[in-house]
Amino acid sequence: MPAPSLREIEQLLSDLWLKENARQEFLQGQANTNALTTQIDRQGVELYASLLQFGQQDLMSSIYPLSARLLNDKWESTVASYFLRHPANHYHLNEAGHRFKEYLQDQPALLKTYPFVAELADYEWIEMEVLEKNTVASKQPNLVLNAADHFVKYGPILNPVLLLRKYNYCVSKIASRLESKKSLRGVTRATTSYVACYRDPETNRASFLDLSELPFEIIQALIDAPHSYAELAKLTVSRLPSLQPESSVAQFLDINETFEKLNVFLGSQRLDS
Amino acid sequence: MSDQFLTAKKDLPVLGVGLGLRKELAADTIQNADKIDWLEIVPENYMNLGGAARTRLEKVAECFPLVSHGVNLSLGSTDPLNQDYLLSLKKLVDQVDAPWWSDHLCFTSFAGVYMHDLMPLPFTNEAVRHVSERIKIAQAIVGRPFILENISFYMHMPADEMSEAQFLSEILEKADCGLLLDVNNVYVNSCNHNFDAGDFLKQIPLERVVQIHMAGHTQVSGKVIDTHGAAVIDPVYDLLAQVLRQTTVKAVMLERDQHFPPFADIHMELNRFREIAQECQPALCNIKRKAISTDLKAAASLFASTKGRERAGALSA
Repeated sequence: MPAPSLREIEQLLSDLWLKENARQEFLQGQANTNALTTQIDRQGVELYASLLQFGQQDLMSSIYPLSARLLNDKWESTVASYFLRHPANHYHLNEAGHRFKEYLQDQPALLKTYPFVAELADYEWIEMEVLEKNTVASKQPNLVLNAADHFVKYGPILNPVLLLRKYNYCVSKIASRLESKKSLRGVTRATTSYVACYRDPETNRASFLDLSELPFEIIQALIDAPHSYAELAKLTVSRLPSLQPESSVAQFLDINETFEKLNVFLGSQRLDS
Repeated sequence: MSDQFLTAKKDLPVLGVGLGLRKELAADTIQNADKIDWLEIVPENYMNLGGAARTRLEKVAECFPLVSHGVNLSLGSTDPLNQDYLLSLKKLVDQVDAPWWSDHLCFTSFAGVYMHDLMPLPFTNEAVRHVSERIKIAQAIVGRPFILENISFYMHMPADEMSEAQFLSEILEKADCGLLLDVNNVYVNSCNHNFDAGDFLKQIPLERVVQIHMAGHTQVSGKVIDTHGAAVIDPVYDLLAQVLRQTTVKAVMLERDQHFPPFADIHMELNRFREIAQECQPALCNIKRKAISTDLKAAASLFASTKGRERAGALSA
């Protein structure tokens, strides 16, 4: 009988280490027995399997601490099942967690109890994405908007390390309650919420900003294409029909100032240059 | 068999006594930069990443010599070598001007699935040929000297045709590369597989050792696990002395990946390395470094990312 090839050995052991069913069949003697399987150290298989599981649990708990707290005694089995469905396929360790939201969206039993769980996972994942994104964000000078010309020719620079989300649940409130280990009573009703998550260039930390619909639309407009201050002011006026245009513009200027202060906007740029 | 590596080894710089850069230790590492000669980075924690990781890398590169110690080249895997990985790695080691780079004698991926741990290989002739060929290819792409680390392993794979010492030696000779000797792994394996660590060291080509890893381990259910989560123990210090008496090395370093102690404890371990080196190989203790700027120390808070896990190159338990 020819010696097993390296690939055959790697295939068999990877299955035993990573796949619970294959491992249990092997350990209970139900797997096909051949010259190769009879040489395998059972205790070694179990030890490596437990080390790999420990690593998976540790990784997911570090990326999704709030989901772990929410799912509590279901967490371990959820993570194990996630890795069976979506095995890690990238050399970056944290990337192994990137399809968790997608996995949760396909778990009717979990969604029945926690309809917001996939959105919560997304909320936790975008923090990771923002922290690690390979883009340099640096502050530029802010233009003082004191001439009509400025409004037309210049626009804000949106922080390039920013992710914008519209959720069906008030995920930031849910996250905050979970973080402080408080009851979720009263915050899990379906209600639209808007969140921006971005990396602060001065601290490298991720910041979450709860938004109302108008600031969300302003950021979305800037994600879609550069806009001048005048265009954004016009957008604001169109979304606040009950206000006088001057009041709407004043409101836009307030939003602009807040975004500048919070490093959502990182300065001003001339749009025709 | 070629021994070009041994000629090249003579020209590699002596780095002295170093530490593995970990995000949890980053601020302390910077604050205590005058006590550390060089740093080892895990490239997967920096390749194509921005934010705190990038800032940390840029800042430490300003004041420390850096060496890259990868965990996911997957040299033993029968999957094709990951070209994207190798090109990103090359970019990184060029950026930090690493005098050499390293990875493990293991496989970490199969059929495109990354296990994110260091899985053992069967000690077979096929595996010797396979790994040594891949080392040559990877070294040619990265364009800098490669050194291979012996891993700790907790089970023998089926179909072994030789001992671990023979397996390691044959690959080093066939690939003509250097050895990153993890002394703690030798100790851990000697406990788990019941052999004499001193004898093991006599069976491998110590002249190829460029760098030494020192670390602590943990007893779990009758096995000794290479956790990098405890203090280095005396028998491992003894093995370090044995190696340093027998061959010239360029660098010794401490790996600490969990249960982080006060930095004073880490400093004590680094000092113990220096005491041993002073007795056996004083060149390791005479490293001259440029002064660390106070700006850098002040910027330490920018280095610490707060979410996710870093790969540290060790199995966790």
